Parts: sequence; structure tokens; C-alpha cells
Amino acid sequence: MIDIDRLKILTESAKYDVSCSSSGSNRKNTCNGVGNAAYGGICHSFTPDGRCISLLKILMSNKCIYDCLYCVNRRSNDIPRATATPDEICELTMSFYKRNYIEGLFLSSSVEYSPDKTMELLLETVIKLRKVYGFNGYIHLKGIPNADRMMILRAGNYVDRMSFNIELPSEKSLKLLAPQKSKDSIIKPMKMLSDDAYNYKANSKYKHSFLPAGQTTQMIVGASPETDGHILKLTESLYRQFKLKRVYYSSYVPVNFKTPYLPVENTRLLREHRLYQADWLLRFYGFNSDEIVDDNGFLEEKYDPKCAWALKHLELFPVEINTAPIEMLVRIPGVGIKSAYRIAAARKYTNLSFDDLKRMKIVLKRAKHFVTCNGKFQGSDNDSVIKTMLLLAETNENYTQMSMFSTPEITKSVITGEI
Amino acid sequence: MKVFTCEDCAVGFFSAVFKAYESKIMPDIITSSKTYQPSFTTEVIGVINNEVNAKRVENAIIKYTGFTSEVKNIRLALLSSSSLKETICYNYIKLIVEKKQRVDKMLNEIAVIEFNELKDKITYEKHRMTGFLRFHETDKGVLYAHYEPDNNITEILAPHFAKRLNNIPFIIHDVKRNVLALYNGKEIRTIKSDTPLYIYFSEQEESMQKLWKKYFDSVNIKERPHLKQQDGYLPRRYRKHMSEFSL
Repeated sequence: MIDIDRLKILTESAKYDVSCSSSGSNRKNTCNGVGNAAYGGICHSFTPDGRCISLLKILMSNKCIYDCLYCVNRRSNDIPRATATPDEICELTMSFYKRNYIEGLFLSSSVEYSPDKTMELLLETVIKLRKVYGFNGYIHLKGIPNADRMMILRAGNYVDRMSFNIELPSEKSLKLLAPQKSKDSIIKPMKMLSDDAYNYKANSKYKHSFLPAGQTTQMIVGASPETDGHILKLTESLYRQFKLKRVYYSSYVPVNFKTPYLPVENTRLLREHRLYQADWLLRFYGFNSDEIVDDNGFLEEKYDPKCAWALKHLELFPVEINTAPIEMLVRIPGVGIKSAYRIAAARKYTNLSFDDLKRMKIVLKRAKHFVTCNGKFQGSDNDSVIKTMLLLAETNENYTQMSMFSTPEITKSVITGEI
Repeated sequence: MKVFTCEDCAVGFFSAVFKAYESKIMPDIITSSKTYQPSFTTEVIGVINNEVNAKRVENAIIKYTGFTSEVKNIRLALLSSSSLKETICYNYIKLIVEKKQRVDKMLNEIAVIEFNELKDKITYEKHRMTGFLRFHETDKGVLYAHYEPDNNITEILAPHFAKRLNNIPFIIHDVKRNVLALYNGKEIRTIKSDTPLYIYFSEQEESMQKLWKKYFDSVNIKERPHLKQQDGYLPRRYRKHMSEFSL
């Protein structure tokens, strides 16, 4: 079994990866195996930073030949280094899983010798875990840029999810801050996996066996000068073209290190928060990235992006709760996906009044300025009054409630992202 | 005011509902609460379990709604720790009988709102416990977990772990209610027992808990504390039985 000191080193080096979700896979147990996957994902604990622990997030090694300026594990950083063997990772995963500490494994690694050698070790570990240890729980494997494509494809047969991190939102920034990585080394394998997943799905014989939980990626926000609009456009194309399941953002935090290329201050959490809100609008609310950024390409700081959009389109409001199509209901500020579906279900039986909505716990603080119930209107028709009221609603809201990092991706998580 | 009292189980509750419709006494409250205190003007009627009558109520619900799932949902809601659970379920059944159709989507009806709240709390707690339950390895290789859920969820929680742990036997122990789910690697049995259990941990157990605690501490980003969110997602009352908080 791995010793406590190396566990500490390899965990601390892995913890800045935002993704920890265990959702999206339906993997079943086998007759002598241990474990299965829960489609909605399960959170097993929460750390004092408010993040969920779902997977055992660990590096095989934090010894790195690369020197990416934003990364804790960069070669030139003076930190303790360690390496674990495939068997140590497998044993630890099994022991933690049995005790219900975790939902599975999130395995990544620094590049110790070469990308191929590193990918080979990762692949060996996940194959062992599945075949020798009989583990059928969730595995999220980090892909190594520039590694052999056959190894990357092979890994897709054993793990539930894979991710290559975009790291920075443009090639220019990547060149500046992570000169040993190129856009191609990240984008190409993502495209390859997404094409292959498609081919596997088309061939029913292989159903569910290839990356059932798809791919995700992550990028650092605030380390480089890209606008919100640029980031959201990139996000949008990743969702639409590569069928990514999730794009994560991480606010840039300076890691005890000064360079003229990087800002000295933390990126404001509010920016990350607004980006996640916009990301929800892209994925669940039917918005396009062009609709939600302002003329300078940034998201409004004062209001959430849906509010900001609605204020720019007051001519479309108020909408009638009892007749508006669901695509329009979800565009009402303050009405989330879940609320919209509840309204749609309830109005089949009766005409809904404001009292009905209150009883159904639909939050009207913001929505009342944008809706009518049976023709009745309870908001203000003065634009500046509406703006003031919305600002008040915003400051009362604890915005950190939403996904500062990874929110638990349980089915209920649609609620936490509601805006 | 009229009150029916019944036993704290599905049969007890459905027997009381049968009695209400049969005797046309339609009570204001149905309760199994041991602490219920009637006032001077309250007429209390005790209802005895009757399997046949209970089944007839269940069948009537299925007939009106066209779905067996409604009976399942009511049984689920009855696992709640709320002293109002029987009355809320009773009001829900009254609405089904009144409308003679499924009512679960009539989301503006108070009876439906209250019923859904009751039921959702239980499903949510069960979901949480699939993550928060902690097993300890005993010297016999059996996994043992103790916990104190708000609602009586042991029976609906155990199948989740049986699917996962497969050939590994386990015990889930609700120490507040003395309810145990026993799994021998093949089937689950849920029992009520006050007999004290003597559990001896395996040799590795303590060091595994230490490794887990170290992992928990290391994965946290100290520079970004957010205790409010931690408290919201992982209520403090659950932490007593979780090794990362009790070590």
C-alpha cells in the first residue's frame, strides 16, 4: 500500500484540476467484480473549500519535464516529488471504494520521461484495475498530449471519461505560457476520441463500451488576456463539434512565482462565476454565445447573464406564464429549467395565478417584472426601477452558491445552476 | 376534531384510510406518532392493521391513477420521520379519489406540493447517504457501517450497496432506530434489533482511515475556504459517523 507521505504529495499536485464529477456513466457490475457507476454521479464528502470529493484524484507522478508557467508541477518549481506504481494506485482505489469513500478514480500524471512512457503507465494502471482487480466503478483518465494515438484510443475502452485540458483559451497564450504544448497536441486527440465514440455508438456491438461518460476539458481564466466572448465561443464549439460533456473554468491563482507574462493578482471569482452561468445558458437554456456578451466581448458583472440579456430585450416581455412556450419560460430571469418544467406541467390542469406560483415556490423576485399571469402584471413598468430591483435581488443572492469549482453533478444540480 | 391513530407502517396507514372511507368518518388527522397529544375536544379512534383492507386501498389508488408507481411513492413517503406524514399522504389520496385520475403533475395543489416535499426529502437523503455512508472492514471481512439518517431509509438504501459490493457481505446499521440491513453476498434482510453488536476491525482498517483522512486534508485548497458551502452540502449532523471528520 502507498505510504501516507507520497499520498499527500501526489494528491496536492492533483488538486487544482477542477473536474471531480462521477456522472454520465451507467457502467454495470460484473459477476465477480466490485462496483458500478451511478449515472447522476455521487458526492462522497465535501472539503472546507466547499468542493465535493467524488473521485480519488491523484497523479501517478508529479515529476515533470515540462515547465508550464501556470502549473504547480512545472519543472522549475521547488516542491517535493513522488511517483506511485500502477499496483499502488489500484490497491488504494479498491480499498477506498470498498469503504464507500469514493465513487472511483481520477487518474492523471505529470510527464516524467516522455508522453508515451507516461501514457503507457496510465493505460497499464486502468487495464489492471479493470481486469486484475475487477473494478467496475467510475474511472476518469487524463489524456497526455503528444502521446501515441493508439494508446489513447485503447484507454477509451476501459475508462468512463477522458479529458485533455485546453489549458489556455488561445494558441497565442499557450505558446507564451506552455511552450512545450501545442494547440494540435490537445485538440487532435479530442477530435479523434469524439469521432471514435461516434463510430462505436453507430456500431451497436460496442454500445457503452467506449467512453460512456464522454470527454471534458478545462481552461484557466484570467492568466491570459482573452475576453469572455472568446472563451464562450470556444466553449460553444467544443460542445457542438466535439460533443464535450462539460467545459470547466478555473480562475487563475498565482502559485508563489513572479513572471512578467502572468498577472500578479487572483482572477476575481465573480468572473469565473459569470462564465459558469453563461456556460449553463449555452448547455441547457438554448442561448448562443453571441447573445450574452456585451459589445466589448465581456459578460455584465452587475447582473447574471440571463438578466442582462432580458434587460436588453425588454420588448420581448412580459410573457404570459400560461401560454408561453417552454423555450421562452426558461429565458425569464429567475426562472430555472426545473421551474419552467413545473410550470409547464401544472398549467395543463389549470390556469396559474401568482398565488399558485408562490405556492409552487417559483421565485418571483426577479421574474415578476417579466411575466403576466392570466394577463395580470405585478412588476414595474419603469425600466430604471426594474434595474434597481434586479440589482437588489443580485446582491441578496449568495452567488458563491453556484459552481465556484465543481458543484456536485447530481441530478439535482440543475437547481444549483439555475438563473 | 377527529383523529385516527395507526401503526407506523404502510399496512397500518392504508388500514386507517380504509376505515375513513368505510365509516365515512373522514378524520382531520391520521397519525402513528407516539407523542401525539389529543386535546379535550378531540375524538381519537385507534385503527388495527388489516392486510386485506390495506390492499383494497392500494388497488383503488392504482385503479384511479392507472399507475402502480403512486402506491410506491406513498410507501416511500411513509418512511419519513415527520409526524405529519400520514395526514399528508391521506390528503394526497383524498385528492386522487376526488379527481379520479393521477394528480402527481397538479403541481399547484397544496396536497401535491406537501406530498412531493415529503417524498423528495427522503429520496434526497437516500441519495446523500449513498455517498456519505462509511464502511469499516471487520476482522471477519464483513463491511460494517453505522449512521443516523433523519428518515427510515435503511431498507431503500441497502440495494444500492448490494449491487456495488456484489460478493462482499455488509451490515448497515441505523443506530437511532436500531434498524439493520444485513447482506450475505446474495440477499438483503432488513431487521429491527436492540441486541448490541460486537465489531472488531481488521488489521488494515485503522491505517486505511488515516490514509483517507490524509487524502481529505490534502485535496482541500486552503487558500479558498468556503465553509458555508461545505455546511450546505454536507450538514454537520451527518459528520459524526464519517471517519474524515471524527479522526
